[in-house]
Amino acid sequence: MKLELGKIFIEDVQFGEKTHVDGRILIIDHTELLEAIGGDEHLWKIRVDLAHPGESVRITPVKDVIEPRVKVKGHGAIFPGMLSKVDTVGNGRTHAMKNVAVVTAGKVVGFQEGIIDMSGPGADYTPFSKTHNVVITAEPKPGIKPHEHEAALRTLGLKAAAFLGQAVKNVEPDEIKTYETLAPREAALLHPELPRVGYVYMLQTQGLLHDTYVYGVDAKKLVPTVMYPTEIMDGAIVSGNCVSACDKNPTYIHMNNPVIEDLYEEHGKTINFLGVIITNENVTLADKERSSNWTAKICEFMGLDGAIVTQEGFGNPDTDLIMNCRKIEEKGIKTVIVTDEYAGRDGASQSLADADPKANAVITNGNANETIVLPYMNRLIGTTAFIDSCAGGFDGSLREDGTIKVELQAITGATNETGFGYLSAAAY
Amino acid sequence: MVVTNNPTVRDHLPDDDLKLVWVEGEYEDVLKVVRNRVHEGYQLLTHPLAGSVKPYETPYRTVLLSAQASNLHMPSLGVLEQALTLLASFKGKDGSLHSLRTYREEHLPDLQLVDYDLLKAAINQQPTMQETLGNQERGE
Repeated sequence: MKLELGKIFIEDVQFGEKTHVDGRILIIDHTELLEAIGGDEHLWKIRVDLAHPGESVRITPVKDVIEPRVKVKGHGAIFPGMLSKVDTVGNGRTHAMKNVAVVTAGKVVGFQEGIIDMSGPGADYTPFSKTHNVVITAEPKPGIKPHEHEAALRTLGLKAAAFLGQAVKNVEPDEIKTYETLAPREAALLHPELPRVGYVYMLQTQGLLHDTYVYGVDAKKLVPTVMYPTEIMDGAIVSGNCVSACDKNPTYIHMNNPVIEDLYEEHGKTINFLGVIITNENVTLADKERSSNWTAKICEFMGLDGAIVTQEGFGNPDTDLIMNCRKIEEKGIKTVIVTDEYAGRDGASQSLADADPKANAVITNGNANETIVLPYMNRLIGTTAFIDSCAGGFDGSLREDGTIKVELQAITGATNETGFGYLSAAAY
Repeated sequence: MVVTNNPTVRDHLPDDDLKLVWVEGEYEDVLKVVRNRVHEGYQLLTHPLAGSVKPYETPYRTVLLSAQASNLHMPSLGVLEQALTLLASFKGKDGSLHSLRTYREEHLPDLQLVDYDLLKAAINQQPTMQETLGNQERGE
């Protein structure tokens, strides 16, 4: 499976007539965008705002972040099973609109979270302060249940990203990068001397506000399976996860997964990257046992020498992470786990809810309990009415002068467990 | 068996065959009741930290246990002790989870709903649980 990913680097986003790219500027026709995303019977007051890097703007509560992309050649269309048919994607050519993100925001449930500051100290912690953000806020009609609201907002964001992606379909990319993954047998023949490495991609799949979709399927109903990494670049994995802003994977991060990017970078040089094994993080212990058994079985089946496992979310997925690590290691496969920590505000407490001596290679992406003071921002998209009660917030978080004291876990992407953020740990 | 302090679970039990153990208390109290049951030989079917809502961010917890007791199930006890250890690490100097954060009265229905929905997701895996129980009875 081979995908050419054409990147078009955008330097500014403005509202104007007819949605198109003019040089390096994305012009968005407000009416066209609203028509494209369509009304939803569950939503009203759909609003579109722009937020640019460096501005004194705060966006909260953030639900999802999505990169605009479009299929130019090859099978299927972007977000298969969600917006388009279930053709297998990941081959041909896709264009990505870089430096632009669709951000969905608005209250789904009362305690929701997710802060993106476009400037100030908070901006240093979120990767989405560096993108020009097209922010869609939508309020539910009275009486709408959170399930319906979440699904409606999720679809709205995907439609907006697919619509904006169309604007770069016929634009010559600034950069084209080719990603190719062969079937294991051919891959082994091509690089017989290199260690065979796979990526175990754990997806949050528990219930309301904690779900992920693969080709439109609720991933809690899947058993672990194998994917070509390029399928994921075409939007085959979509986030429906609203909880734990700092370490959930927004759709943008699925599409731009840095572990996949780095494994491709080393492919053919130091390793032979064979593919992605997706697995879930369900609520029942039997599911955790089954999924980790299957994950280890597939790693063995693929003849891996090494595996990298990334986690999504807090608490019980630590159990999935450790089960995966232990069982893969027991197959004789060297395993590295990638996670973040809830080690208390002083960082002195136990970091994970589970542990095992076999987890002897661990990468952290920061301590989500660390606190930060976010300054007042001139413009607010969404509402700070929930700051006190969002994850990472606490009573008195929102101060009278408009500043906010929160834990890093309130900031979207701050301790992302694929390493998409900026934090890690160093030994002294 | 469902151990819960969530009124929505109590009032709308998704499966009539489930036995309800009502806990008038907090998140940690639920886990302590669960621990007692595990010591009696009941097996944990759902993870005590289900969901990404942190223990100090919600007052509600619902845990599903096997219908019958058997020999002490060490993996269940291990998972539970780990959860209680983590919970302890979140406590403030006053020994209370509340020192970290207070949720608002008006959000309690939403917090109940999310906890309830996690339980429903687990109930939908019912055959899985029967299988787990079966394994246990065969002494695995």
